[in-house]
Amino acid sequence: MIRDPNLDLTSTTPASGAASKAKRASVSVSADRKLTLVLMIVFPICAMLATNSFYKSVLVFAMINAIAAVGLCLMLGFAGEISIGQAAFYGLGAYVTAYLANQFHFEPVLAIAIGSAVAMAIGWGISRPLSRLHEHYLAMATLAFGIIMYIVFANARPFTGGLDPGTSVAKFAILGVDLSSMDRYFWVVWLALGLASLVAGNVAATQVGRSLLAVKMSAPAAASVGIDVVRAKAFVFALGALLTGLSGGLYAYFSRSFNASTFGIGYSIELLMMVVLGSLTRVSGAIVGAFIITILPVLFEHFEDYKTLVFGITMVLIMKFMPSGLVEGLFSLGGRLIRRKGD
Amino acid sequence: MLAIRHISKRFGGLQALRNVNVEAERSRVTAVIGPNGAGKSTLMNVISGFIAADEGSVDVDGTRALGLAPHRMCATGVARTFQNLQMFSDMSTVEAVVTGRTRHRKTSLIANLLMTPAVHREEGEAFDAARELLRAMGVPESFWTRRAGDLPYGMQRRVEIARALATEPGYLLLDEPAAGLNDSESAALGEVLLKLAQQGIGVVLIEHDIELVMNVSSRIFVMDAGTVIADGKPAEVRANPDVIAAYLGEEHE
Repeated sequence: MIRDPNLDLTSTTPASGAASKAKRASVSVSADRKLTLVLMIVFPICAMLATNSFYKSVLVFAMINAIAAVGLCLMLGFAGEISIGQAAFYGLGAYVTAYLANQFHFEPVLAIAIGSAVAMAIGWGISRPLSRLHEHYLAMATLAFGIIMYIVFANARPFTGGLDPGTSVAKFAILGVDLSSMDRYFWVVWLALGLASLVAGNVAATQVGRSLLAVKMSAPAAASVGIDVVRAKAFVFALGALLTGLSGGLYAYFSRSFNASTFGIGYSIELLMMVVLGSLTRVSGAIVGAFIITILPVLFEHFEDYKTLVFGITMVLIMKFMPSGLVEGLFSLGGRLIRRKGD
Repeated sequence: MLAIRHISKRFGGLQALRNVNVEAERSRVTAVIGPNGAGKSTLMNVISGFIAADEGSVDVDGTRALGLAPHRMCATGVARTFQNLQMFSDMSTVEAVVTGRTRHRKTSLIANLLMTPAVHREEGEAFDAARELLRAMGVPESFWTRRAGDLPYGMQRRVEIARALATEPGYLLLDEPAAGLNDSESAALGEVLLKLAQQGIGVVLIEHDIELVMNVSSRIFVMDAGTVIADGKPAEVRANPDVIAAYLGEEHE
């Protein structure tokens, strides 16, 4: 018998159909880095220009989402591992953080760190049974995982507060210095996003990311050059869960009061939309996608009836004309314009 | 020596391999030929760890290797290519070959996540090694930064061999490398294989192109219906009446 369906030689299609459409040129990593850097400079400028605290909090929320989107980008875009259960890791990060802070009065940074680590451990743990699945089966399994975890969050009321009353945490502070105002918390999240995209960028630029891409493009070939396919998948699940858990921990201190409804399937799908919309293989794309998906609903606030319609049409147009994502599409458009100028 | 002994493998009711013995030496080209369905590719997959054999042993330079997972098999110094091209299509050509260097990477995961100077150095070395291999395989420089999947078929075949060579194998298993190549490409491939053998690599060639096999092989194993029916030097195999009946008679002259 063939030991591992991943290594089925009769299949000539790569492991992930949707993700494989994303083309990737070798010189693009540094362009991705530059755009990420630009974004990291643009955010503080936006924060300064934001006229009221509501817009500022939307910006912070977008950055929190961006951290989770970067995690999913590594999973789906690089390794071809689709996950429709990311809200589970987001919830794990948030609840473990809140629990440690409330029950044991952990320093917030430490609570977030442990929350992220727990999410990472669970991510690593579920990757093993999932490593034999791909495409629709993996999508279904992760969806099921997300649903199960949502039920746990909603019902483990002694720990999570369930749907009602939910849970709340104290103000975010570092060594007693209150950093909970949106102006200050912005920089906390900014730093976290900066670190997350730095690490993700390093994954993309080194053999680590190349091994993940290899697993996505041809698992048999990856194994034949010495890449442990199961380990590579476990790694990317752990890293994706870690970043999403970090995002959840930051969310706990951002909202300060939340209930299980935040961690349903809706959030997993939003994350998926962020990554697909922005870019599958660029860290900067995931960040841009997170911004669009977070901010669009706010912009269309006054057109409540048309919100979903505009949203849907935008998605369809992008999928149709820029199948590998908005950022990818803009990059290739830019490349074409530069070349035309050169002629 | 790559010693394959008493390998048997059954798929349901089909005895795909029955007590197969094949030996390949370093610095030689060893060919395994046979009609379609003879079990050549199954044997290749057993050797490289993709399929578990029911019985038998595979020894690589005296080390027991049967039952190892494919990525561990690679670490024993056995590299392979695939019958259906398995290219890292969306990578650039040079990156696809760099990926073959994975098992020679010394830097840790954490070092990579932090992108330490040692990682930069190692990346540079891996790219240099990959370019060297692409040059040696005759892949024109203009292709190196192109998307690997966009290269002409024959070139992708060469890139696949370069990728396997990047693992620095003691033995290189090639599953029908000449399939889809024209006569001159096929002849060029033959020269490459002989050159690899001169460098000390044991080349194991599974091939339908008899002309190529006869020209480059030191020893030929002929398989039919899951068993080895003959082995010897090209001239001996060509003269063997069993072989002619099973295989050569129909395809050669």
